[in-house]
Amino acid sequence: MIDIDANARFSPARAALLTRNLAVSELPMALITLGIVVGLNLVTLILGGEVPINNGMGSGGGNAPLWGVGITLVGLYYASRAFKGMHGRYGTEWLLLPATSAEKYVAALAWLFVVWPVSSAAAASAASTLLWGIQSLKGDLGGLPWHPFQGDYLEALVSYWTVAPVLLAGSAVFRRNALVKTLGVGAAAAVALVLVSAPFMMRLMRGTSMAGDLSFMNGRWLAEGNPRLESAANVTQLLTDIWRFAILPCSALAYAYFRVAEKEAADEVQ
Amino acid sequence: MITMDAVTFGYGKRPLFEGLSLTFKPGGCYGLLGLNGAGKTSLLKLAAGALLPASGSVDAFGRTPGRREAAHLADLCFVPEDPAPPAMTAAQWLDRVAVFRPRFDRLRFNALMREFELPAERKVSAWSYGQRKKFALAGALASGARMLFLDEPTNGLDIPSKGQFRRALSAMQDPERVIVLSTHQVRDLESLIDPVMVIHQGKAVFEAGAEELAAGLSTARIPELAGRPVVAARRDAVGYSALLAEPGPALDLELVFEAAVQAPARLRAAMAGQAIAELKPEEALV
Repeated sequence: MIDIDANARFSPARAALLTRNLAVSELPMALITLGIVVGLNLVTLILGGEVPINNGMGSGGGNAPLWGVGITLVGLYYASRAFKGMHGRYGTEWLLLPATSAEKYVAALAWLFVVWPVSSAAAASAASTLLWGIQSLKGDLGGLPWHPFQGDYLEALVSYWTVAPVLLAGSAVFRRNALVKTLGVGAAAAVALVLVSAPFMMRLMRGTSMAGDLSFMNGRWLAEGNPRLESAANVTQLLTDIWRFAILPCSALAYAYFRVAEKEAADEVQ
Repeated sequence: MITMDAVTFGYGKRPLFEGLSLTFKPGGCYGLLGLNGAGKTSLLKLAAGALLPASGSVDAFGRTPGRREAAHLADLCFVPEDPAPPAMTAAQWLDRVAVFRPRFDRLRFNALMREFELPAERKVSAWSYGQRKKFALAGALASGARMLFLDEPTNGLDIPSKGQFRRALSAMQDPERVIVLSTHQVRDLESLIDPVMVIHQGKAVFEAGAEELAAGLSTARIPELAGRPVVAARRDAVGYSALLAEPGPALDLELVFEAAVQAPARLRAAMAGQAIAELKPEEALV
């Protein structure tokens, strides 16, 4: 049994217990999902000799393993329900569980940003190796098993670590359907940003040819065909990166913390 | 000791408490009574720290509940009227939830589980409402907390369980502990309640200990109001159930509560030993 100092302002032991509780309550769904994924891939392996989750979709596969995408998507779902317990009719018990708001918050961060990416990657790696082994025994060559040090997973993790704080903040705000509502607010904010930035872009282009193309793909601004656009692309990229990798996740994390710390029990008069 | 000083609180623009001041002293098993919507549950949540006052202060054994320090939270246990049904067995609950309470008494908890005849091997979420309530009460009674806030604790309990709960709660009373029971089912708990506190229109309008009540008040069934020191009375088929300003063998806390809400001046006068005017039939409680 872990020894807890009741008087500590921040107890790593309490935070660790809360993290464990989150993992224990959330992992069964992930394990069931993993079981279904492995089962479906076994079926496709038996019927067609393919393991899509290891080798990508489409005929002949391709080097596009889906493990990394799956892990980050499930992680984002978990982020959107990280503080589900503090809302609703049973929120009072969550608020009054003997741990500080900071410990409850840190536990959610530890679960989402460390425990989930590491444990799910380890499980996915093991499952991928299992499928690869069966595929090899069958005599089909399916490339190498997936492992978490592949570039695609590390890239996906970077995106995950920047988007998950926003969903985490959404889970601290919205009582129900936090994922959909947060995505809705994000989409509205993106539209607003486009509307606000449009006059600046028009001003930038004033007096020059309107020719050229500015696009945003995989986190990069690409400008072609107009010198002003091309010179503006680097500045826009810098501003976008600062926003995406620093301001947005940090402000979302701070906002989520204060929402948790200042949360009150659900409104009810009995 | 828990002290509220000039607390203002409300939901939205509707004030519930304005300048509420009261004290819960250690050793007391407070019976918090009030009409529907009087704010009993909100008061318990303010004392626990689940709600934050708009102004004024709350102090619980030297700590501010609203800060939700772990030491404060470990020193209190709040059982809501409808406790959360954890999707785990009692053993898992001990391992995952009770572990946050350093003074939690597992032996006592297991004894209460047996006494309440709860099915320990099944998940709590699969139990009936009454079983879940007993589980939450067993957790509270074994928590080792100095502050116990129980919201409608006997709601949903069957008759034997009410007796078991009364015995278990009685064993919990100690000079260092504050127990506050918010209830409408005052007869279930009147043998335990001492003192009684009535909340009405945002204020604590009445508070008296069991000895004080017994020394000055009693209840009796009387055919006529005339000639008796009646504080308040409720008309029934054969006469009146009356609250009398004199000691006697019985005291119905429900009548005390009704008098505190509907005839506060008469009740205050009776408690102060002052003479009260004869109650007229049209002044009977509604």
